[in-house]
Amino acid sequence: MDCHQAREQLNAYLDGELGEFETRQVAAHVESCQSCRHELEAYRGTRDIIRRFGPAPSPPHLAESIRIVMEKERLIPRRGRISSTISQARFPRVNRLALAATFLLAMLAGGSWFVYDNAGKFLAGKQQAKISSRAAVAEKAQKLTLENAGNAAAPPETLSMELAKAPLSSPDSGMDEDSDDSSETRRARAVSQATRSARETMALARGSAPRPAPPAAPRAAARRGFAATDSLDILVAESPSEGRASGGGPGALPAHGSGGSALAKPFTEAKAMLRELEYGGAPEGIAWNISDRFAPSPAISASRAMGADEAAPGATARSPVRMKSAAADKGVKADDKQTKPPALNIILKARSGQPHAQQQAILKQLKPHLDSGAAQIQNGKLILKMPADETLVILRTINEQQTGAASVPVPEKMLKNEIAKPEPRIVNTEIIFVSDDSAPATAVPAADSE
Amino acid sequence: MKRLLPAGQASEDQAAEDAELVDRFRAGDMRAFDMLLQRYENRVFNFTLRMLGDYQNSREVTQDIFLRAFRYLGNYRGDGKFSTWLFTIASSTCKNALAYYRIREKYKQHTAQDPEQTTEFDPVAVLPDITNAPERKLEQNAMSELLTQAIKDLPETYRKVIVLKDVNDFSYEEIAEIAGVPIGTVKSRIARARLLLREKLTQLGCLEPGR
Repeated sequence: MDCHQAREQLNAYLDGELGEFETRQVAAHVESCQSCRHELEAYRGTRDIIRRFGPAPSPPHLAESIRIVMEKERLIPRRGRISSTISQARFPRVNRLALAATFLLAMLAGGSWFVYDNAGKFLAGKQQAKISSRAAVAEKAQKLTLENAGNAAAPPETLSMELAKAPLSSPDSGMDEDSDDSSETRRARAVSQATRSARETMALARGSAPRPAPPAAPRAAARRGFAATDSLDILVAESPSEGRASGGGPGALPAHGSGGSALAKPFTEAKAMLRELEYGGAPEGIAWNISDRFAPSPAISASRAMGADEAAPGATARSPVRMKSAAADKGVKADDKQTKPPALNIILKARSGQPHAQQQAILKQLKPHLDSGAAQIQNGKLILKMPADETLVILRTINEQQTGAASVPVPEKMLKNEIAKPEPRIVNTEIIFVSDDSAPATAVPAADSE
Repeated sequence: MKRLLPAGQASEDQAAEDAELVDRFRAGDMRAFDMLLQRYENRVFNFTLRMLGDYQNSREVTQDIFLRAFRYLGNYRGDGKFSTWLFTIASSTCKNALAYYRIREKYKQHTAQDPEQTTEFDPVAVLPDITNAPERKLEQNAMSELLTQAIKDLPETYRKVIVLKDVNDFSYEEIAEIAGVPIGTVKSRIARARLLLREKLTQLGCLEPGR
């Protein structure tokens, strides 16, 4: 090997990159050649300087800063949460997602319950206020009716039972929010209110003692099934002729007072008892308006009066909620016959191919009157108690609402004659809807004038 | 100061450990990348420092190199050594950074010649003076400063191979793989780089003439 070949290999020889044979050749040449040996030492010196002073310490926290940058760019998860193998092994990604989903669902469920609970309370309060005002108006209307009849000493059951009547189909459902009063309805309501105001003024001039209004909020609570009071008193009034004997019958209430029955049981027990009474042969038409959805926790005091006259005074004092009994109604009607006010009673039959839809349409139309108590729905019948002019307007309005086969006959001549009288009577109109197509349509039935 | 891996110890054992860490990282173990980071942090920083010749820029470029490595480690096929793969990234990153700093330097010189521009806000001027910082202590060493200057004055191709060989202690074969050149080219470039560096250090008074 000459010097030229050796100098080409000196750096590789210095770095130990030559093979064994080449290494021996270069080593032998360097050993014999002073110039090449000198050259080799020069390279070695340069290399040693680089090796000695070349490497520098890395900046402090360089790795830490790199991790921070990676965390900022979301290349790696933030430490302190999930950065170690152990934590990842304990909480793999799927489990973490499942945990997050579970937490989210729990929060949603809690939120929904909170909203539902508060919405229920809110609606309960709202309904209480509405029904309270409605009951006050209804009370006023009843008072006027009784005053017109000239019977100030009417039995209290009449009033209380009328007010306790539960609508066949609650007009509140889906209609409270409706504010689409038509012009006809508004006019009818205005006429009704004006007439009522005038009659109220007349009644006050006569000096009739106002009848205290029964508490309405507990009734609303019972109707809605909310626990608004500490106790609910239920009166089941039966006429002496049709009522069952005290202690008789499968679900008879225990005796209470003179001829009455009463119980003080927890809600569920009382309800079961009343149900048994109903299904065990209770008079037809009893509508137990007890809902166990929001069952009140306190006990229920239920009393049954053997006679309407006996039950009424005590019941009025302690019975904010009354349950309608058809038998009691009959008893009241029997009493009414003795002190019946001059009224025009009309019974109308209306044919409807779609009773439910028709009923809903009529309920919507009559909402103001149902609210005021001038219109009621009882046992599938629509009962109107109002002056002849208002009745005419309402019947016309109802008839206009009917479409297709449904129609309500309007005894216009009869009503107009009544309107023309100097002292028009209150018209009691009972509209019976017949869903059977075979039934005589638009038959104007018997209209008895008393 | 962390000791660099001595020559010859970038052996098969270390390559096997690197491969194992890479496999663990691919399996989702983030701590494996931490270990790789700790293992190569100093070597990569020294490479960038000698390639760029600037401490602060080297720090930023080192961060960039590891970020790229993290992003592209999924594409690493495992044919070669991880160290070789990592320094290939470091080499290309430094090349891009050098081009960027070169352009920026030209721009700064251009704006410095404009008297209207000299009064404008210069973010570099308000950077903290790190000359007395602990990490600069070694650079305060005269020999280190001179060496840094000498290496910086080398052409980039020579600079790369000499740094990879004498600073990072790669073999010729590995350098050839990193630089993407034949091993003979590496050999000749190293010889040429040492010759140029010796001349430069002699000019700077670090080496006696004739040695």
